[in-house]
Amino acid sequence: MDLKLDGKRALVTGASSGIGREIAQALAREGATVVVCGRNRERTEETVTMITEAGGKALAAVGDLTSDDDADAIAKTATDALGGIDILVNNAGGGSESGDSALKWHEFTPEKFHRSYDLNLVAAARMVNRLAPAMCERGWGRVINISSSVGKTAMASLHHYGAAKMALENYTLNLSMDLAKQGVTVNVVVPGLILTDVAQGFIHYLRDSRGWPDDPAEIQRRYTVEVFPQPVPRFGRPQEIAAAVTFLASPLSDYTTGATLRVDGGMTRCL
Amino acid sequence: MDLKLDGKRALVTGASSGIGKETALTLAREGAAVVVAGRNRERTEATARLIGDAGGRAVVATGDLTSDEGANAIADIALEALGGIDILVNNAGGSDGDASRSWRDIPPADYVDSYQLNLIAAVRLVQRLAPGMVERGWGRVINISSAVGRQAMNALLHYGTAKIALENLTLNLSMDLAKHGVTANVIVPGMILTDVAEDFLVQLRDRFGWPDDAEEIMRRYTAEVAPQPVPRFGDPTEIAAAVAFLASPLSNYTTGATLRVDGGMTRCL
Repeated sequence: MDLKLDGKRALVTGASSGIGREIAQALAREGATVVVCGRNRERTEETVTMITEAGGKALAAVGDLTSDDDADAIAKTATDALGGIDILVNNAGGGSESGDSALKWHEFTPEKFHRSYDLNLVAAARMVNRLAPAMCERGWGRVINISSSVGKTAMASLHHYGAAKMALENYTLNLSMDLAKQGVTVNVVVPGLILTDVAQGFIHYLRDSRGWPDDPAEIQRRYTVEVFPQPVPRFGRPQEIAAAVTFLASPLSDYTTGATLRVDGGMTRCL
Repeated sequence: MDLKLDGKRALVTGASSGIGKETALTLAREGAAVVVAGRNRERTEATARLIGDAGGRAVVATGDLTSDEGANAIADIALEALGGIDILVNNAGGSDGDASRSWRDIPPADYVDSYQLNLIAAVRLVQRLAPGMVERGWGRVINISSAVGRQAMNALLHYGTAKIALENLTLNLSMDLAKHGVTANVIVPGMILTDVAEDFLVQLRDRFGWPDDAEEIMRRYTAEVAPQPVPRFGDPTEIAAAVAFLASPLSNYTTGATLRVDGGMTRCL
């Protein structure tokens, strides 16, 4: 299926590793030129190298999206180099620190909520405000926000993170209503448990804390069957999120806006 | 993007026209052999011919999915011709009767008929074809709902209730099937330019005295009568693309999900 992304210009935040890196590579494989954003210069440039070595086009833009100045600098780098961005993927987020998953509800401090909101919601708004107006002028564009299944599925954990991700979904829906008549769609992809570096660390933690065998596939199976049961008995792969983003980025998805596509192994149990 | 559907075997219900026809064509273009199921033999055969002429492989299966016998007939033809079905697209459905009827005027019999057509027809084919998917360790159930299932329009109550039931069915099914490599998902079309919608445009033109210009009627309807973000009706190919993507092995981690292709009509998360 030709996704008709050849010649489009994309910007992917949080693209120095994990899901973001895979999204950047997938868009480049479909012919898009990709601005790879990240906080860590070395790893961000590593993603660029991976894309260019595979014959794709990419450039790096380094900065911290919780800062207005850095958001300005990233948008300027992108616009100076490419003249504009057609596809904005707001993937930067997370920000849970080790130990956060063990916190009780009364231990999430206002500072934690504030920082999570800045990183998971406001960072996306910063990039939308800088890049979407020109999409509207040109009459075509994409905003794709990466949420998390803990936004909708309460796990009695990560309150600061789930609240911010659910806010991101609400923001997406509101934005979709304004942008559609200019040909710009706004959608959410909702990953469940995905095998990123963070998840690899979690797998080691499970092995050590539960005395499970040193077999990542078996640890994933036990976790998704015994600890937090979900229909698909494994963690997802970053490539599976990247495919969903690429499909929503395509002109084939022109009629899809304000939509939420879960790629979560069936973790979410509600409509 | 290679969807890796080459050699898969699909069955699409309601494939004699509209969304089902486009879905069958798209899956065939990606290399799947497609059982084209419909009630009307002539139109069902026409879809199969379009696929054949484009170099694809299609099998015709006619029958009425509101009866067990009709479902048996369709499943038997599919299994005999292809040995099994990997991708089941439950697209047959729809609403009969005057769409402007209020809650007072839709008789209980219409609710029962709508449930037969929009929910139980899907159950019939799932029960006949999904066990084979489970045995083989890979499969897809893709159910076509409607935006009016979730987005209340103060109209089409018999249709909306049946469609949201279909979404609930999908979520329940997804929980059992996933460990066998079978996903179950929903696509939610909004206003789509099918033959039914073409008739609706004519009705709108007459009711409001609008100009005889389909694009202008769609624009006015989606701006003034039933406002939605994207100011046009969708094209059946836009639904077909979403079905093909969820049918792909690339979507192996997506199950129990609902993908709206509705021009932003749905106003809730």
